Amino acid sequence: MNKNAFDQSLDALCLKRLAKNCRRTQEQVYRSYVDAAWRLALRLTGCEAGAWDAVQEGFVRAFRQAGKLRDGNAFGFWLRRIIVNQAMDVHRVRGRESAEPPPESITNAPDPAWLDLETVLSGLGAHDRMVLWLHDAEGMTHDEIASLAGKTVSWSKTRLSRTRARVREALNREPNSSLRKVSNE
Amino acid sequence: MNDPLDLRNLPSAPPPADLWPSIEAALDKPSRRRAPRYLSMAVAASLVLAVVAAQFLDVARTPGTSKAAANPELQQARAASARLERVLRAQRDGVLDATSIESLAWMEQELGWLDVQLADRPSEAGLWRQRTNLLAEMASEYQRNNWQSDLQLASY
Repeated sequence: MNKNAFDQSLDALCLKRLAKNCRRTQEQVYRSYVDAAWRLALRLTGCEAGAWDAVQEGFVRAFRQAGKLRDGNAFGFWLRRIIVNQAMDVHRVRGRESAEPPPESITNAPDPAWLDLETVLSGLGAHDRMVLWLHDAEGMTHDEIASLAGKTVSWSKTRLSRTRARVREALNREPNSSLRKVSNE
Repeated sequence: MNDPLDLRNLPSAPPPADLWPSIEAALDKPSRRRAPRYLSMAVAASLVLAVVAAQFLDVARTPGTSKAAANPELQQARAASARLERVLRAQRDGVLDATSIESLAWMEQELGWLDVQLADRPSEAGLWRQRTNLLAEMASEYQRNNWQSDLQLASY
């Protein structure tokens, strides 16, 4: 999945139906975006329970406020912001920045190298993981991340470079990491 | 070197099948999780308004004796904050675009947190400065939207 599903847009009719609370349209929209939303929430919260809360609350909020939206092209971008905010809320509710290590694996990859990366990601603090994931996996710019987090662009840049360095260092310590070469590039 | 860790290709478990039914169920009932947060923000906001009003009254009654009167920076920040509150009150009814809805929701949330802290430490100039900056940012976001709405209406 190289193209981000959040880049999909909604046509005017679909947006109108969402504003009228049409359940069938809501389900269609949900099916179009849920894979991307789930993946994002899972990575930001670090556990399935947190991802469930973030995705559920995110879609509910997006559907309830769809009437305020006037541009269907912005729906995906908007939904992504809501999901990120919800995921960060999950951390706030937990009362600390670092997420608990996930009780079960949130990947379905049998490759141990991916598991190493997964372990390292789950050990990061919520903000570090957010900046790393939004930039490197979601392709967001530092401007977008900074505006989303209510911080400065330099905060985002510093956080990203520090987090990447920490991940590389941690991967080098992991016994299975075939990502070592890549991570040292 | 945008993605040296290849995060884009990191596999994830698929979304659970019973997620949609739970969303449907949540859509069918009024939001219960949100209410306490808005309620607590409203309580915090009214608390801070009461504190601000009390401080202003204090300043008016006994000039030179309160902390605010002794600290012109604090007084300025409070006055600016009150001015911006008035501007925002008039702006909050406008139509918003997607980016603004979320960033304003985020800022409202931050404002709630600041107000909670201010309720504890009403004389802290730094907190008032942060509040004023945040309000100014919100006002300019609303202003940007109003300008865009006006332009859009004018084009019909």
